[in-house]
Amino acid sequence: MNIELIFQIAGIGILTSIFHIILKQAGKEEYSFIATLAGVAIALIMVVQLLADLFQQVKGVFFL
Amino acid sequence: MFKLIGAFLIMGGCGYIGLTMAHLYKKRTELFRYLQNGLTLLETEINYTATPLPLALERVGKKLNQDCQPLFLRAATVLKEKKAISAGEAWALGVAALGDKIPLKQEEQELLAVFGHGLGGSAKEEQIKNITLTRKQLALIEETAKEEQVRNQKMWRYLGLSFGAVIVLILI
Repeated sequence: MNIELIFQIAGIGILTSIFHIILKQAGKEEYSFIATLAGVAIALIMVVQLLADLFQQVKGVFFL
Repeated sequence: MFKLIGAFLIMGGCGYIGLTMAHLYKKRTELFRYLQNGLTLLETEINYTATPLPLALERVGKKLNQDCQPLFLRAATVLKEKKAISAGEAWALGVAALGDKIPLKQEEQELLAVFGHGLGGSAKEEQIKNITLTRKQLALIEETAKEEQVRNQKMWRYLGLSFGAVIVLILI
């Protein structure tokens, strides 16, 4: 488990919120929504492999 | 080390694109202001000195700033070189040359094209009326462009930089 990933996701979160604020100020609410969604999707793509590992380990603990 | 240089390059590139887009909005506002100036000058040329149109367009074009020069100068050169072309067609070519340099919306292009139809073909009074009308409409368009500038300039500036930062973050 590397700590870099956590910082990376934190950075993406911060930048997504910046995107959201800027686009909302410019009066483009629909784009701000899409930007937020894209940020969430990118973070999820990064995490999904680790989540799979976690489930495998939980399964392993209970001998399933 | 290479990673750092690459990160800076990506950030710089995206920031530059954002700044260019922001600058375009400023240029559009300026363009409409200068176009109004240009039409006033053209009105003077037509009304007081009765200059032939190619010469008048060239004179006006040389007095204006670089961004709206192509409109007048292109129309002037086309009018001088091709004998069988009407002033309206030459003006339309000028509008196309302007559109290459600064993005124009459909309605703005149409406004300029309609102005071109009345150019050079009718009596002096008609042309003056045409110019006054177009100038009023240009003033309205300038207002809209200014509003757009206020809203979008800041957005593009920040958006470019943050987009670069996102790409760097994903790649790193």
